[in-house]
Formats: sequence, structure tokens, C-alpha cells
Amino acid sequence: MNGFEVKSKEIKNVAVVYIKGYLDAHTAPDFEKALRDLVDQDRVRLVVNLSELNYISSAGLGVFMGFIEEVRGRGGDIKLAEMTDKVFRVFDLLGFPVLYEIYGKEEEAIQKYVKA
Amino acid sequence: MMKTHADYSMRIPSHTDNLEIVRNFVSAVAKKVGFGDSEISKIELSVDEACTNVIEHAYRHKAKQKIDVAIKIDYQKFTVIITDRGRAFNFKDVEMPDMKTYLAELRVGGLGIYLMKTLMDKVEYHSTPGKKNEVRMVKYFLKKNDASREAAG
Repeated sequence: MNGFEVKSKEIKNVAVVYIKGYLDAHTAPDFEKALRDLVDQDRVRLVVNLSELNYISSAGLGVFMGFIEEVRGRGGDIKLAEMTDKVFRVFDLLGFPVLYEIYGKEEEAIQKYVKA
Repeated sequence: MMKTHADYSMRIPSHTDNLEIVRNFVSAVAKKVGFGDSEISKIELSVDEACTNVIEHAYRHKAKQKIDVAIKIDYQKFTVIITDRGRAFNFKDVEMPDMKTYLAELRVGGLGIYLMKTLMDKVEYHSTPGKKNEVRMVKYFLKKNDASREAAG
């Protein structure tokens, strides 16, 4: 059983990562690997589109935390977009909106990089 | 809201692959007794965090070990009991992170117990060394202030 998928594509020199399904202790390593591959290719301007993510646990949140320092240190960022209310409640409960920019639309998050 | 007594239980091998099965199980029972989506999500996440702790810390990823998940329902509360026979840990010594400091220092991990304690009404840990460890989490059907309001009204 593997209820998680991660895909990415390049839009305007920004790596947009689409995560789908359930992000828990079982699937977090897949997400971590996908981000690691991008960061290792110097793709540090990241937008994660969470529109199809149904669930996140602390193991999933840990992946976001695990990359933020490195990515920002290299001049990039992890911006989040199109989160469902259910997933947002978990981010919000832990105060993550202080640390991560969250956008309603993927395009807005991409534009932040383009304009910067 | 269903107020009759009922017990449900399942046993899973200690592997992260089974977290989805446990979440589906507790969510289905929570839904059956009448919790709304928001409360179901809280129970589901708390149970996931508790089982993840068992898999990673109590059993250290030894997949042959077993985790018991029991749900007990009485007229006032929904109790989930997660039992393992692995290494005990000192639950009381786990510090609740101050989230502002946590985020400012870009820490990673250690949020599971924080989530369990924040999302459930009551979380207790009992360990009988060499025998079993038990996490007991409670969600009340009516919050205490709701109950007193009802009594006053």
C-alpha cells in the first residue's frame, strides 16, 4: 500500500512539487528523497502544491523543516500553495505559517519568485 | 451521539506501512459514534503519532513486533489505548516544545507528543517495565464547559 505520490515540474525557473495522498512516517522518506534530488540539482526555488494532499502527520512536517534552512541558505525558499483546510489546520496548530509563505494559488507563489 | 458502551480492537505488525490501516480504523469508529470531521481528524492524527512513536522508538523498526489498538466507548468518552511490548520511554520527561522557539531554531522532529497532547482531551502513558507500555488518549463527547452550560441551562 502506498497512498502517496510526488511529482515535479519546472515553471518559470521554479520547481513546483505536487504531493498527493497521505504524508506520514511511511511516505515521508519518498517526499524527502524527491526534495533532496531537486536541491542536489541546485533547484532551490521551490513551490509545493498541496491541493491533493489529504493528510499530513509530524513526519511529513519534519520534511519541510529538514530542508528550509539549507534551501534558504542557498538563496531559495519553500513556498506552499493550494493547501486544503484539513492540512492547513495541522500547519496552523504548530505555528508553521510564521515560517512558511502559504498561497491560495500556485501561480501566486511562483510569481513571488519571478518578481523577487 | 451514540452513548452505549462498545469496544473495538485491532492488532497490527509494527511497520509504518500499517499506519494508514490504523487511521482508517479509528476514523471509521469515531465517525460511527458521531464525531464531526474536525474531531475525527484530531483523533486520527493523534493515533498515527502514537503508533509512529511505538514503531520508531519502542520497537525501533522491528516489524515482527505487534501493536494493539483498542477503542473503548462509554457514555461520556472515546478512549484509544495503544499497547506495545517494546522499550519503555519516560513520557513525563518529554518536554513540550515552545513552538515559537522550535520554529525560530528550525528544529526537526519531536512534535508527535505535542500534537497528541494538543489534539486530545487527555493523554496518559503507563509502563510496566519488561511487560507492556500503554498510551491512553481520551476525547470527551461533550467538553466540560459544554456539560456545565447544559446543566446550567
